[in-house]
Amino acid sequence: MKMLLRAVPLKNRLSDKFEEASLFQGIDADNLAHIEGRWRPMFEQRKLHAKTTGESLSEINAEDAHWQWGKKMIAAVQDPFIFDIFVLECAGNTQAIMLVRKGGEKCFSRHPDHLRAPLIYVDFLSTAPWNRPKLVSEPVYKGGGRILISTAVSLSLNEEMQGRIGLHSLPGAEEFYLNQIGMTDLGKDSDYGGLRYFELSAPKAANFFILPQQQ
Amino acid sequence: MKLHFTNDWLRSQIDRDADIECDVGVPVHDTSPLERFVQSKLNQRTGESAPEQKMAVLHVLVHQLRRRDNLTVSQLAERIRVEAAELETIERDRDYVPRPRTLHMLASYMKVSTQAVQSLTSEAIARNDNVTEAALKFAASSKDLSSLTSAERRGLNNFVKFLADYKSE
Amino acid sequence: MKRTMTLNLTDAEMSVLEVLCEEKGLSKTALVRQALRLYKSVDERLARGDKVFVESANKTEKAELMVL
Repeated sequence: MKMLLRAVPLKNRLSDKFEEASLFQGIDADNLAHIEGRWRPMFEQRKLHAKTTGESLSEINAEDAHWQWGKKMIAAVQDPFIFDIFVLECAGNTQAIMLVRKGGEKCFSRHPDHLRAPLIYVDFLSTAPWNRPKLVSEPVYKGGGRILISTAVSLSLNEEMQGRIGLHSLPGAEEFYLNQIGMTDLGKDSDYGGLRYFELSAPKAANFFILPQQQ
Repeated sequence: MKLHFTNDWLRSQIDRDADIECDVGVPVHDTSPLERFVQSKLNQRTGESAPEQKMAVLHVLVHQLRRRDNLTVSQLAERIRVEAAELETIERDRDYVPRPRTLHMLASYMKVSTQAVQSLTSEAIARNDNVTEAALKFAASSKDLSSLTSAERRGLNNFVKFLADYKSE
Repeated sequence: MKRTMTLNLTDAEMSVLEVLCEEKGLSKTALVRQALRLYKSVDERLARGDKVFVESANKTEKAELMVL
């Protein structure tokens, strides 16, 4: 069931102003319609354009290889007891979506500070193509990733996991997780198509929600 | 669910964050990683056998359309520009929720609204849609024979006409 | 909605539970919840006919995980 968690601020880069977005736990048919009807055509168009200009798909972060492998991975487990899904909506559109896993074999920490401690694993976090700096020359909204990752950290705290989260970053997003979110890079994971695996450790998570001037 | 951050904190962080990519894990380019999360939550909520009957209607409808128009799965798929594999799945798997685009293309082919075809999916159950009775009658009257009898043809055409007049509340 | 139940464990089982809670920094409830998630996750794969393997750290051995 889709449930509104809260209104949150999302930055419109074009107007340089914050707009009110809605953060939901759960998704519905409208979100599917947005992704099928609005995200997908834009991805297809952008990929076609990349072909004509000779850009590689990895340069615009539109690789299908990860998607093919990931589709099988996601298909493997269906249970809402284990998964939670979050969606961010603004201006009548789905702006970003995140799927997390709360238990299972992926939810054991690999961080040397606390090996095998329980964590929330982010299966995917996807922003709408019109918000992505690598995909479009004038991306619209900024902050979707920050909002959803903060939601994952909140969930981790609620589940007594002390804010620990883990994820495999797509190429081009490593800098965000390393430098903006403050996660630890635990290296390339050969079991995950060579994507780099990151974790937010418990000590880092403890200061995560403190305003910069308060630190 | 408790959120541990304030909106002030969010605004401050979003302004400080660099303008870079942040996508993780499986790229979401279409709805295939997501569809089950809509269907499974609905099934949990209703927990009734109505979903099976509803899904059987779409499964029957697509099959009957093909037989009426003498088309193989590949031929119908080509005609309405959807993946043949998905049409096969619709006919074979009662629990399968088709992609929104596929529903739209099926609806165009039948010259009815997308909403009408969508009402035959499990998502419509929660809305207590008034198409249920007609849909169930249609499904009950259809038999899986190799050729459509005139009674079945009449039943199919009446049902399609019903869908054409469909207006959701 | 939350429901309460009583667990009957032997001394040895309770000891395992308490040590794991201490190591993981989890309450007993949270630990049991995580155990359930892991059990269900593996069980679902097995129910689908998938095989679940454990690979040794040096990647030289792979053993099938048996769940009864």
